[in-house]
Amino acid sequence: MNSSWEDKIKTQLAEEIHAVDFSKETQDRILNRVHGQIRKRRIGMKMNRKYTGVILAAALVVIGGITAIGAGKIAFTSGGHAVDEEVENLAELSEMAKEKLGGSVRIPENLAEGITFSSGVVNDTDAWDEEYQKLGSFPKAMAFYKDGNGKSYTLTISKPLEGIQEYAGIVTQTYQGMELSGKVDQYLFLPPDQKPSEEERQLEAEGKLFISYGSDEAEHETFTSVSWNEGSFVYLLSTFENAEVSEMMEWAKTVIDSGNE
Amino acid sequence: MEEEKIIFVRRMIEGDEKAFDELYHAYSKKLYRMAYFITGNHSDSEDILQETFVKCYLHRKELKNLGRFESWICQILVRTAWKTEKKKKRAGEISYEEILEQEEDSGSRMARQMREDLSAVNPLDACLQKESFTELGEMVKQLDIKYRTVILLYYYNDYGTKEIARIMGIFEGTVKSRLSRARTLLHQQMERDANGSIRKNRQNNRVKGAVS
Repeated sequence: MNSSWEDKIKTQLAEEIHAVDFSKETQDRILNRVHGQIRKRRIGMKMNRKYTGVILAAALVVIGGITAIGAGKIAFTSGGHAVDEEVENLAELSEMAKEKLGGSVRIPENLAEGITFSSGVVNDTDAWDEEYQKLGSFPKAMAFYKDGNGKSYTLTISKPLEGIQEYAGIVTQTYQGMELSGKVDQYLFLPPDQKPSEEERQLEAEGKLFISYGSDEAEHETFTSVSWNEGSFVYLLSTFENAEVSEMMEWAKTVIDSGNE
Repeated sequence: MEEEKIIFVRRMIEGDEKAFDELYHAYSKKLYRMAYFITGNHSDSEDILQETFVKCYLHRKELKNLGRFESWICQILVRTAWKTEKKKKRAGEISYEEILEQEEDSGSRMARQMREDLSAVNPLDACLQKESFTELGEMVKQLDIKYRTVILLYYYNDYGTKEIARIMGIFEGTVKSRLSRARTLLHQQMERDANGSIRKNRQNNRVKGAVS
């Protein structure tokens, strides 16, 4: 092939490719979808134990699975945070939460003996439709607790958007006029290219297993949680530490009693 | 790669989403056009571009040499595009745009041919016109995806055969042979088209001469 032919093909190819339309609108729309996908996949990403707990707790407080899907309806929510956003002072966290959520919330120093507040964060959870278009955000406060063995527990308080599916627990108790609702969910984290087995698909269809993609290897986790409403706030106490629902119900009572002394 | 972009890449690897957005704005147009060149339709190109940047962010820590960002993201794009094409091939799928193109093709191609035949005064004009970029695009589109991709990376992205081998995950020798084969196919096609056009124009000119 001679060099003029080579030059010609190069020039003409560039002209051909540059003629492909890619509008600013398309560019922005795809970027929006990219962020939506990243957030969605991050929910299932097991970066480290604490982060998964934090992110999933944030997701579960509002989704408890995936909400009904429809045009313009919330399909899923997401919300993570960077470590440097966390504060380690309880009074400071309570103040930030009050300001962001528009009212005082209950965040105790201890959930039980030996389970102590370690840090917390106040930020937003984003709600997305099935096309990964952001529909809105709502505020939440998260307080992280640890016991002497390094096990971690999360208290999430949020003011969800309308249209978000309510938490549906299996075990219920009434305390101080509030209904405490608890449940245990099984999670399966899979690498992005790994497919669940037929049995796992079946469990997912029955609502007995939540499958999330993005981990390095397949892992099963048990997520235990208790939730209740107080005023316009939704409280969720959660952990991946194989805790008993009954035990967490007692901790929930501690939260409710805090600030009443 | 420019120093500014390397800074953005470094910040993106640290998890800075704004830096990621900057990189998206810097590269998305080029990558989208590359995807379109490989797939030939807009909806697949959008999906491929989206998946490329999602993978770019989620796997950002795997990029060790920051200066290689562009070639790294091209690698993601090309492999994602190939996966999409393979899936489509397996499923025997045809996109909506392809259906429209096929329907439009028979009519518009004939009209275009008539316009060209009437306007071409001599065989040399016809030959040059035949080598216009739209025709070249059509010819490249008809090549198999493996030839189309090497043509794209070599002539448009200016990558050497070694880099193309890395991007496509094949041996450098294979890249060279595909490149050579692609050139030959294009050259032959161009010659065929040009000769065909010359013959047609000669006939037209004879008809025009007879009428006048």
